[in-house]
Amino acid sequence: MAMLEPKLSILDETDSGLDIDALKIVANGVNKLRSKDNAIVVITHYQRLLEYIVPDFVHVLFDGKIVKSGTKDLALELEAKGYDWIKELV
Amino acid sequence: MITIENLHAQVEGKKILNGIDLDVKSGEVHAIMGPNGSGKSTLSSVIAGHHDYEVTEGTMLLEGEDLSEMSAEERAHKGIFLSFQYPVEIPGVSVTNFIKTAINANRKAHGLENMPANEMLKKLEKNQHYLKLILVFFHVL
Repeated sequence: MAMLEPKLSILDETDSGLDIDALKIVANGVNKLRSKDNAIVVITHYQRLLEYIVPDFVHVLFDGKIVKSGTKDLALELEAKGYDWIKELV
Repeated sequence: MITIENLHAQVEGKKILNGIDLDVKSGEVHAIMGPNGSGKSTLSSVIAGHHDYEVTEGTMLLEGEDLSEMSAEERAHKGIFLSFQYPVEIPGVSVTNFIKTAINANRKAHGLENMPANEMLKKLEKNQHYLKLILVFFHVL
């Protein structure tokens, strides 16, 4: 990502398999690459990554549709309530 | 940057995406969460242009340009990057060589010459140092 300097970066579960130290290094790297000229889509299961890479928006995907959008607080709500809560909204 | 409207997609005849709307502006970071099987990875594959995924409805515009008829390579040249969840190592191809090939393919598509080796090395070193990435070099790049 740093080498190719893309406009749109999609990070598909970049946090999977990383320990906490590695996660911080990766998140720190991604944060350094954030700029007004690029955009980043972070796909993740866990709210933990979003403590380090703080998103402007959070979307919840369910059954192939975005069923809820919000700010980083939505990720915290998901962490607390789990995905069953989202299923009830559908 | 990218505007996705009413995107439907399927793989091997199985419908996975059922009408995604997403607008990501320059300078923004969006997070996509969801349970297993909700379509997260499919969405990233479809944006990147994976040939196994068929878009059946909807549009994807990158800076106003329609992506639907573009191959994965063309999309990459337009500036779309996908980091895989499980990157595959190609035996005998070093990370440096891999990156070099990707950068030069990109430059070629824009009518530029290959990046000179010394410039490439400088850029690699600068980024490794800047991002403190040496330990997880494989994972991020």
